[in-house]
Amino acid sequence: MRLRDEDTVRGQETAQTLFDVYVSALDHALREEGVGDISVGKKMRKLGEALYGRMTAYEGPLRQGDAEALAQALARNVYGADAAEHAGALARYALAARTGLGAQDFNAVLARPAWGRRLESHERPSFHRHGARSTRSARA
Amino acid sequence: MLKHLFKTRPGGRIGDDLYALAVAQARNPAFYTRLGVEDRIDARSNSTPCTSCCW
Repeated sequence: MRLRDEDTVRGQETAQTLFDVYVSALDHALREEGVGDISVGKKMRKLGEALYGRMTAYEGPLRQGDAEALAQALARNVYGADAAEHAGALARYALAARTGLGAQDFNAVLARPAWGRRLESHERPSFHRHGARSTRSARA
Repeated sequence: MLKHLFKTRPGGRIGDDLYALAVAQARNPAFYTRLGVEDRIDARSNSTPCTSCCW
């Protein structure tokens, strides 16, 4: 999203390139798990549908900064339950990552994306104050 | 001409580099230990593509 949000040809192309690399890595991963030529296409299509479903489910809440809606979507997709213990923390991580990436310029995103390294385990009010991280403190 | 043929495409390298960064981030053990993400291909693939594409 951060790359597409750049809204330049370079941003769009980079987003597409990253997506292509991801898809080919997934193909390799399936083959490494022993999935054969014939069924790999079917499995890829399933994973692709799952990915698009998730991207659609997450994009709205991410853009709106809606931690609660994002937590619900993550609970369903990641934890397979309507309510999950860690979904809120994961949602806050994702929103902080988005804030961090949004504060960086494009080249900094490419070199050292500031999605944050520390993942909270419990409520940590101080975490939010560090939502927009400086590039210096952010680790890729 | 040969130089042109063997030139690395900058676009391709950016994709590989970013993907490597995204995977490194998605492999942060805290996702699986503290945040309870299951270590399965379809659960893991939430953190990898999402780290790379969603946010």
